[in-house]
Amino acid sequence: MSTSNLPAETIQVPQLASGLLVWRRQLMVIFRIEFGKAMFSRRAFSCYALISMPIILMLAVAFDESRDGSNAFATIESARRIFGYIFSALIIATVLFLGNAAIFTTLFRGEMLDRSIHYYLLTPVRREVLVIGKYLAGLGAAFVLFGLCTLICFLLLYVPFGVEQFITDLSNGIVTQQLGLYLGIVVLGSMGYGAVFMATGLLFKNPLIPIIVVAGWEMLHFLLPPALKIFSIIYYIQGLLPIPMDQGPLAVIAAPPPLWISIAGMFGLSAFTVAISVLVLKRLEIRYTDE
Amino acid sequence: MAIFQKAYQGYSGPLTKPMDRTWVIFRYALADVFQSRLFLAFFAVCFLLPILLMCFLYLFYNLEFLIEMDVDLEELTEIDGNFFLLAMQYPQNFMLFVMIMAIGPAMISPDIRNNAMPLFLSRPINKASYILGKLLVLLVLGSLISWVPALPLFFWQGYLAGGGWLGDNLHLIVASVVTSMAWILSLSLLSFAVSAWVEWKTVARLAFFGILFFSSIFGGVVTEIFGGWGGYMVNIYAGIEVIMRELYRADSNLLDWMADMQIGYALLQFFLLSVISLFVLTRRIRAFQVVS
Repeated sequence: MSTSNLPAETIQVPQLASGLLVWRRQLMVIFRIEFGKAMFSRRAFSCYALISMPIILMLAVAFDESRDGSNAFATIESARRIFGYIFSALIIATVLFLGNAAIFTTLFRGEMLDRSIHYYLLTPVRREVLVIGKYLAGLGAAFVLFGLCTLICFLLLYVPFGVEQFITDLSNGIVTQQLGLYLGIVVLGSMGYGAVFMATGLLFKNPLIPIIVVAGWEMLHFLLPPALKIFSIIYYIQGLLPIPMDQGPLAVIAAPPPLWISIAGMFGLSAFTVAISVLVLKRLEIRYTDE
Repeated sequence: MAIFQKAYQGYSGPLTKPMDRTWVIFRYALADVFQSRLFLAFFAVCFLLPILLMCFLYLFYNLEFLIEMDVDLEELTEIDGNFFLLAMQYPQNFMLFVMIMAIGPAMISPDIRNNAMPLFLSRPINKASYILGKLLVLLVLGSLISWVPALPLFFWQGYLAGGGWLGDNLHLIVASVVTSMAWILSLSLLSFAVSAWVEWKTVARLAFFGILFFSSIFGGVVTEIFGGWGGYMVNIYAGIEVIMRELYRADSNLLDWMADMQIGYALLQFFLLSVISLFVLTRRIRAFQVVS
């Protein structure tokens, strides 16, 4: 019997779930694809190279012994201070900044260069879902990579002092408090930089110039008056450091923002730039010959 | 005769000189660079600095002008290595960095991405000719905005100052040429190495900037923790500052920060960077490509 002879009512109409359920499912799919790309594609190599540097440095410091047998980590306090310096100068200022630039600018610009963005644009997915899915995937990958880097570096701090010191600090709550703050800084920094770089990747054909401008602004933030400091991401996250760093004699001192302002600031920035990205993507007409 | 019976026979006619073939690569690469109007504008702007410095030197030695402007002659600074280092070499290094970042990472990657390397290397052009042809573009353009305009500036200063100034400051000519060439050569090879491994021009530029940005901060952190000069070895900015300070015979306290490293190590740093970049670059430039 041919199928044309079947009664019409037996043909199954696909069950379409309501909006929220579809969006959630689409979000999960986009998240899974983009998270995999950010973590395991060839492009992720730069991020792995970046996070290996502070780990190598911490390994060198932890296992460094001078001729008299002393270590750069003379005491646990100096070890925490050195880690704080490495975290502030290396992990935040370069690894987090450049790593987020690499992850988030390629979310859209990378797809355009690879000539694959039209696959997304042709699917029945709302642009809002696409932007949020990609942003969350980038954020997840950034947190896994840079959080892991922070965690490993923090644990290496205890190498010269042994497990006893680690257990003592853990029971005193020092480890949980400091590690929690460092990881929180990684999340907030990734949120802020990620949002900016995702929008940058959408707005500019060559995102290098805006990245250099943002890098210059962030590097010179210590010279800025307090009224302008609020426009730099580093101002919100540096205030959360458990061990504040000396910013040099030329620095313009400003009171660090309260914790809730730092968190609200980064969430606000993320929401704002994600909204901008949605607006840009809604008007986007891709012509690969222009890229 | 059927086509399959025609065996391959190598070309036995006269060949051009190897350098002539390099110039072909150079000519086409140069034409590509000047297709960008933005680069053309930037290149023209780079010549403003020596012109402005020439005007400054003219006014500096114009007594009537100085008296008219109520300038205290006792307070005038001396025109020496410190002056040329701060007013000329530093801005030139910055312009060279911008120029190389703009064109260097975009020179090799399109040829590799579009599978053009077998087409180049199947002709009587070898890897060295190809790299040299591309490198010459950056060397020539970089020289034109750095040490080439510096030479007339030194002669102009020598003419205006008189009294054997030029004879006493001949080291400035060497300083300008060596500093500029070390900077151009090492950055160019690094940008080519990045360009050969990164598929897209934009990403290659970003990677080039990231490597220099990261190495300078990483070197600073290593120096801060361990002390000594080991950290400076990965910081290319520290290396060029040491070379400039030594060759220009500048005051050590001229800037608030100067790397405490011997010039031999700084030169070794540039040599190593160039050799590593060249090694990485030659690994990617092959006469065959796997087309995916």
